Amino acid sequence: MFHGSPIDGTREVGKGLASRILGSPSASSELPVLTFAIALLSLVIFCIPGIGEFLAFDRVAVEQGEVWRLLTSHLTHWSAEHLFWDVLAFLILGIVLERTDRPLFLGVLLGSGLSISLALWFFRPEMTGYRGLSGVDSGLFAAWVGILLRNAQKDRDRLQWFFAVALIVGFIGKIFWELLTASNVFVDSMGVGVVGVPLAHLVGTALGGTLVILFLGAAPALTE
Amino acid sequence: MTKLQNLIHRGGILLCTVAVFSMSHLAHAAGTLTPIGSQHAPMQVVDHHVDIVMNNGFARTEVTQTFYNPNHENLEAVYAFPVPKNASLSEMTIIIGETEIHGEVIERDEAEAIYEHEANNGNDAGLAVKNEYLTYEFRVSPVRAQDQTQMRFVYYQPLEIDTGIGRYVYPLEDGGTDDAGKSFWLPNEEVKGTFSIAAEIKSAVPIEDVRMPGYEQAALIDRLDAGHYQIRVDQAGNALSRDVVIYYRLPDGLPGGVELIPYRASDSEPGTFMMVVTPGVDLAPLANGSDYVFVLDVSGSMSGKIATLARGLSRALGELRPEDRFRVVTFSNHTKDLTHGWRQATPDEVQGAIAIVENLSVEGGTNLYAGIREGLEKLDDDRVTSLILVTDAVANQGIIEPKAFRELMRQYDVRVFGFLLGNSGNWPLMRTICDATGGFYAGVSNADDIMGQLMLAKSKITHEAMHDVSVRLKGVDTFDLTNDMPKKVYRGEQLVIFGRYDEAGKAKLSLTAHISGEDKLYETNFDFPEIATDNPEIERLWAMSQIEQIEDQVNAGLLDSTEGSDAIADLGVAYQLVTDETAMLVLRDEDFERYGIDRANRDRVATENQAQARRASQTVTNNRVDRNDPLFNLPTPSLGGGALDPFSVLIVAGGVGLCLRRRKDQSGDEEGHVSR
Repeated sequence: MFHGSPIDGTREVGKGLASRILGSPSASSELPVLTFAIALLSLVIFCIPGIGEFLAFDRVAVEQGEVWRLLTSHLTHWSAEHLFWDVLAFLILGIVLERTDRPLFLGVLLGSGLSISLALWFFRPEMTGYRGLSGVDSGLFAAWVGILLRNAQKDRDRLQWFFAVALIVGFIGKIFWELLTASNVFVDSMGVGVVGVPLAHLVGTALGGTLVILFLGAAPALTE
Repeated sequence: MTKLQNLIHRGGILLCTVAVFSMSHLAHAAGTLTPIGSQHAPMQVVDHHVDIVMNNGFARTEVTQTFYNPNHENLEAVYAFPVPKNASLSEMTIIIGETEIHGEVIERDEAEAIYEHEANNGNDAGLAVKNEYLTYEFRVSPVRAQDQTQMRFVYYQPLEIDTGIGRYVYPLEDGGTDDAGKSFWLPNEEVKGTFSIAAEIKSAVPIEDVRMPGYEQAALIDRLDAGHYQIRVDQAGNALSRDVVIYYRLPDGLPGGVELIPYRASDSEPGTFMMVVTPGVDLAPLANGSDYVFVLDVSGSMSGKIATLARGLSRALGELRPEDRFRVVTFSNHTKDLTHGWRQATPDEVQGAIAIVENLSVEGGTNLYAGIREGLEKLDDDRVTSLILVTDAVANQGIIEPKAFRELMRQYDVRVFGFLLGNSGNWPLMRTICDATGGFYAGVSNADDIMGQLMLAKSKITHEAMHDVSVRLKGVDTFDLTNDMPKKVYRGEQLVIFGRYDEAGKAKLSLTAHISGEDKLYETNFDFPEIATDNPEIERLWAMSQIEQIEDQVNAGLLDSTEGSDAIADLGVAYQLVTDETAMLVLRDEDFERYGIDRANRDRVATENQAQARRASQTVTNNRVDRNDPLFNLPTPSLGGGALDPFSVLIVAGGVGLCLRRRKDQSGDEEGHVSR
């Protein structure tokens, strides 16, 4: 048995490795080039001195017109350890999502990147600098879990449904714990002068979740 | 003990004592010291326990250690460790069996003479001296043959909080600056038994995180409540060769403000206070390109620190913007302009400079003056120039007088940022150099989180400073203030002012500063209390701050050195502090009586211990006094990062893996089903 039946007007979701993970039957050989390119770019930015400084979120520089920093700040990192964990999560989630639905992946990437920076701009006025990909990772995670949930519903797969619910509840719980306790659980990678920003994870998750609903709302079914 | 043994024993102690006094100022870093060539086995450190309490703006460090004398005759134990920054050594106790004997601070010459006399007569005695900026040195006599003696000492120091990060350092690593000491002493850094640390951090605002770089596996960190942490480290067979660094992080976005920690025992005498101003102002980044001169010490004394220097500098160069320019100058006996003038901070030029820096080697003496002078060449009047000086500041070649450094610095309009690498560095000279230009200086330990320290420093260097910051108090008669002269305050930096006051009452604090071309005035009102007995240690910290101010004035040539020494001796004796002019003498009660020495320290310590017991049972006090009438409206600036913890990443990876596996299994089942 394959998963679900085609519904008129639906858009195809799921090809290749990700489609196997997410329930689509057909494998695609398409490479997640955007994911690899962004991961590589983050690495290059970190390794070449001076570039990160030009791309990171810097409140005053943005005020002076350097608006690209609102998006590029997510590709910059404070330390090698910070870069490693952020990019590792990005690779795992990016490969899955890009091969499943590239437009959705792009939407989450750009939407969460921009909305996180705007949230920092408006709600954290004391934050003069920001770097890191984890807010975008949170958006990708929410989108992936949304697709997982959708497929579980269609397949009437209770185990997968509970698993997906547990993942998203746990993740949101972790974010709220960070917000309530004003701390980043277990994070110790950015250096002593930098604080964790749970708001970025919250905004990223919210954006990812919203986009997956919008995208899948327009195309509610997975194809055979 | 036979007469002969007694003679040998006294002779041994006499020889040691004579040697020790003749080699005064020639001590080593943490560990027991044995003269090179001595026939005796080194005195052993059986265990070493450090108790740290950080509360109310200052830290109390109590060190208890047990010596064992493996020799067949009684000997003197000599122990030294690097002088911690701004420390005031206030107690020394020797524990012999069930008996404790305590120390009193008197003038140094007198203390040394009495100690020598008592030690030569085989009486129990101890002595603590300060060898300038190099070491505190403790002597205990006698440690009986094949027996143990315990020693305890206590020092206080103001806490440093920068950009919301508290940093505490217990210095142990050899600073490498004491060449003469190395040629005389054989150090024994080994702890045979237990090396343990018990630290307690109390804060009125929540503490978000506590870290001990290098002790991640060994440290047990307990969060008792939001502003109260305990740390415990127990290790067997450690060496006293690595600094203990503790960081604690306060929440970002805390408002700037004023904290007042007063002490006034009665209304008939003046009170003492420590006032900490945390600016909450918006300091803009330096918008246009800036010039940075890196002046690096590559003398022999930097051998243990050159890797830290290269690591830090490589990252610092990497943080420059393409519109910035830089020069790299090194100095030892001679100077070298490694970049041959200004270089634009393009990625290629920066990479080239990093390659050079990573291959630096050390040799020779320290001609600090020539290094700075070379760094001050080729300045461009149209650009903001920052001189980043990385050294241990132990100048021993060329011009070494602090006054000459001050005169040199005052000729140029540069911002000097001094980084004193390792222990036993010349803090007073670094202060003189940086103060002359309104610069900033900080210590860096090999045990520090270099990246974190660098980011804090970078945020100062790349942003505007508050200029001509001046604090005035009206309504209450304050006097003998320290650190109240107009000065620059950099981003994230606090202003710590010590002083005294005559009468209680409401004070109006006015802080004026010049920021981004505008004159700013910040004001608030708060009370100075009639009686405040919770923090008697503030008196010692105030006195130590006065002493440092006097040293700076002598260094700058503004005060005659004899006059300065007398003033330091007076303050040291009055407030029972070990200084270059005073020493702590430990004797039995009856011996103090015999010499007619007042028990001023015994009384002071009793008052402090009572207050400490009270504080231990109380909740944390919030010392902020401008809560109802805030001095600043903006919060303190902060840097943020979107980071994932390894645990979350592993959960995500596991989740994806599980789904993949499950789908594979399902696909397999379905394919099997279809094929059947």
